[in-house]
Amino acid sequence: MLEVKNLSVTYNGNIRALKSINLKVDQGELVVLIGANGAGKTTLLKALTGLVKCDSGSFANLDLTSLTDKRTLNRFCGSNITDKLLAEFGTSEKVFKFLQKAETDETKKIKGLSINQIKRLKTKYQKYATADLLKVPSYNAIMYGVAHVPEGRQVFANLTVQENLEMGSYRRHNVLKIKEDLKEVFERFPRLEERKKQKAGTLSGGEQQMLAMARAMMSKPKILLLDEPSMGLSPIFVNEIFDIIKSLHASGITILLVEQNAKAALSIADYGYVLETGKIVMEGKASELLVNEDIKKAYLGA
Amino acid sequence: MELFFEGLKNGLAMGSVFALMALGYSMVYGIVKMINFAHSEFITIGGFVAFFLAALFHDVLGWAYSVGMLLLCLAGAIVVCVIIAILTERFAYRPLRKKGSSRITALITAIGVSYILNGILNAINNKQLQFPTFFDNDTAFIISIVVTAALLILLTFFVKKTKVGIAMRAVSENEEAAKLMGINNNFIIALTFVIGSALAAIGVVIYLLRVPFFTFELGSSTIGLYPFVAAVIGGIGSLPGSVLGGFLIGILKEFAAVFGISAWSDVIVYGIFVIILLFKPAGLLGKDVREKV
Repeated sequence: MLEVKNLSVTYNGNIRALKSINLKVDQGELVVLIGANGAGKTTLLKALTGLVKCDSGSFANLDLTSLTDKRTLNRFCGSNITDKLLAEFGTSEKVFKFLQKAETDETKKIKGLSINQIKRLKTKYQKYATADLLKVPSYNAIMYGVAHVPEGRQVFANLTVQENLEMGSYRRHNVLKIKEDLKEVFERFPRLEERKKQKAGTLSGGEQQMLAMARAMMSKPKILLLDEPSMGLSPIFVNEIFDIIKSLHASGITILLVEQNAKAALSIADYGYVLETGKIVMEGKASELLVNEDIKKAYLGA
Repeated sequence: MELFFEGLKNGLAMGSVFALMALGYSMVYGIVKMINFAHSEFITIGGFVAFFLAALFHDVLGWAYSVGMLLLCLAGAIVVCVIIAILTERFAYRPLRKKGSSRITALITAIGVSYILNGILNAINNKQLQFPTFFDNDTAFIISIVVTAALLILLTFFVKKTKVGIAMRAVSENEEAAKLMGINNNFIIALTFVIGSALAAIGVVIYLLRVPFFTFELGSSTIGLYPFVAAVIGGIGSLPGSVLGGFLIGILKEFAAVFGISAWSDVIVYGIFVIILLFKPAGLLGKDVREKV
């Protein structure tokens, strides 16, 4: 679960771009944030990944607990302790399950580790799992499972499609797993496979949007932040992009979607927020927002 | 005809030196869009370290151990240059980047750092020093060509094929998007400075093999602007461009020398430089920079 509390951003010292935003995205949910141009939607996403500095607020990704592979464990407690933990529990999943239990639970004895060491590990883990992501530098956001697909796609135009995807998995090291995921991404986006040796700059806008999303998927994120994925695309591609978002959602990925195309966005979302001049003015179930008279007037053009 | 080959040979050797040094300007520009004028002082420092080590170990090793001396000079020059480059980047350039200062500020800072280093070096000693001869002219020529070719192949492989090399290109293209991929931009930028300064150190040692005079003006005036000009002619930001530019200038200069018109070499080099830029403003292999929509 992703939780943003009391987030405020000021531009140039006086213009308040965001005013105490509170926002929640539950595991597996597709939440949409709608609002007019300049309402602060992009700023909000940028704040979440540290590209924009915040005055106050906190941002926690409580879903970190689902990162349970051996690599994460290794990075977390070092190879020496990892080996001992694995010898005791067998799989890294079981180790994480153990670490997730609060320290007050009855302490289990582990060969080669003192009770204090175990306690310290647990405290460290709790800290990691409840880290305030606003304090994490942008280039580490991805380590906390947050993948941000920025406005305007921002693929690396002079890199090939394949190189772009490789950059998506930059912080991962399991070559075999990465290969598997690349295959999976190509299955989802066959057009990218056809063009994998092509420079990303030669792709059409819609294909670039697919690449940007595929690139983010290569980091195996817990949550995808999508900023205006349909912007500037032809209607056919808009539909295709929304279909892709729907299918990503269906496969269990948590998504926070920022869109101007309110109708299309609300019709695939679970929950929605309405942002106006830096403030959340309304929130509710997407199906309810879709039939809300005020929203119809302001955003749905009815 | 003999003169022609003489000129070509010297030109290739000199060109390989310029090429190695031009790569430093070009790579740094490609990533941070800043001209690192302190690069020329890195060159001087590398030369000084090489000279110092050569003088120090002369009595220990004797000149016979030429290969050993060459490796020692290379290693020493690389280590010191890399350290200075890291310090310069960390304490002069990075704080500016963090504050989002304008490019002109970064440029002036670079010039300032360059003069500071130059002033320190001149205060130490400003006499011309004789660098020992390890190899005869032909061997030095072969070493220049082989080392340069090997480094270029290595560098190309690194930038094109390795994960960090691709990340380097990604940062140079779009720093913000690169951060979102988990790429630590500061690390990549520092690495670029490290590679550039190491190449400068290797370049100056190779240069001293053939032209064994060291002064503290070596980087700032003897070699001077040539590597920078080479980078611009070739298309700054383009690695093959820098190499091409380096060889072009090296060959022009040496031809002028063997045909007895040395005094005119700058006129020729800069004349051609101006003409090339008239027709190809982005340099020979440079890309026209188009604003992204």
